[in-house]
Amino acid sequence: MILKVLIAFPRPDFVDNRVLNLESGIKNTSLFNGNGPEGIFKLPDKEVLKAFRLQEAFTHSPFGFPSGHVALTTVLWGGSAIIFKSRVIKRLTPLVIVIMAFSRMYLGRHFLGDILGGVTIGLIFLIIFDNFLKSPLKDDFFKKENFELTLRHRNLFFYSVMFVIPIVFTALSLVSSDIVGMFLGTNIAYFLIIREGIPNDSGSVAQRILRVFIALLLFGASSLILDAMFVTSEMINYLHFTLIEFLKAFISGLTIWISVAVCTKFDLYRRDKEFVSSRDAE
Amino acid sequence: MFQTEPIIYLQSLGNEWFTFLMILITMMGSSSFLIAITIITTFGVDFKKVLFCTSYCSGQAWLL
Repeated sequence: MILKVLIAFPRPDFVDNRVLNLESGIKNTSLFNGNGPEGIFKLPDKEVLKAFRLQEAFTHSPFGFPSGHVALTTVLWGGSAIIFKSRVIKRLTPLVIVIMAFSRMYLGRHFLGDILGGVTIGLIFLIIFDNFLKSPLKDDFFKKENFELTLRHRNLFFYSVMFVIPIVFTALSLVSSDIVGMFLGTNIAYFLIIREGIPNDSGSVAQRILRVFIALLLFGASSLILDAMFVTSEMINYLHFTLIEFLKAFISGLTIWISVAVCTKFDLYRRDKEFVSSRDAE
Repeated sequence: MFQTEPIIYLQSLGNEWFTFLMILITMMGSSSFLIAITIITTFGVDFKKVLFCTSYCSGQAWLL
């Protein structure tokens, strides 16, 4: 949580007790009732920042800048438009980002500055991703040999990127802990799947629906069990809350690997030889 | 940029139904929504492309 913690800007309902947190409906008990700084480009008042940073027990998601929802929406929709080469998604992306930004402001969760920070971070990663897609390295991502446990430079590179980068993003607080937990869980799931060979997408509509049903069922069941195991409602320690949320999402993300194994077992999938190691083919 | 007036103004225009709609929209940025979409598209549409997109979002591809 380095970026958000270092900046440590409060959310709007902390700055002004007239702002309602409409997302959770919690009553605003802030001591401040000002309008924030007078100038458009001024930062929050020093007195407010000082009081906010002196808090010993943080509540869930207390930090405002930058908006993780907006950054993630920019990255996801923009990335989907690029990868699926879809004009519809491309046209919808700016609209979805604006609607998401509006909802975050309306619900009292972010200032305009938080929103702009989130969009900027999302766009930076989008540009990096677009450049990566134009590089020859992207094809290596689907080769099984690059995910084997050997000391090849490329393998070490993939491992470090797969497991280190999500943790760095958690530290930078670009997305919330549960979202990073989900991504890290799915990363490991995909890593295990790639080692077996990526499943072939062919199949009837009924088979596809059954695959989705099995995957949703396993994910839903795991989420329910984990929710029962880790009760976070009485926790006031911010780091404990973050860790538990991370673990819950991480374990749920792993169910993707189990789902593929179950679907393969029931002949709803077959391994695609195209993505199996060239060494295996030999 | 860090003023509360625009937020208070927006909230003064809203009602229960609009708030409910905004909560639904903001849920599109939640992990539950994202994982549901990921599962549906992964198992029902295109495994490879969604794998690639999800990996990108998690940072696998971002620094390549």
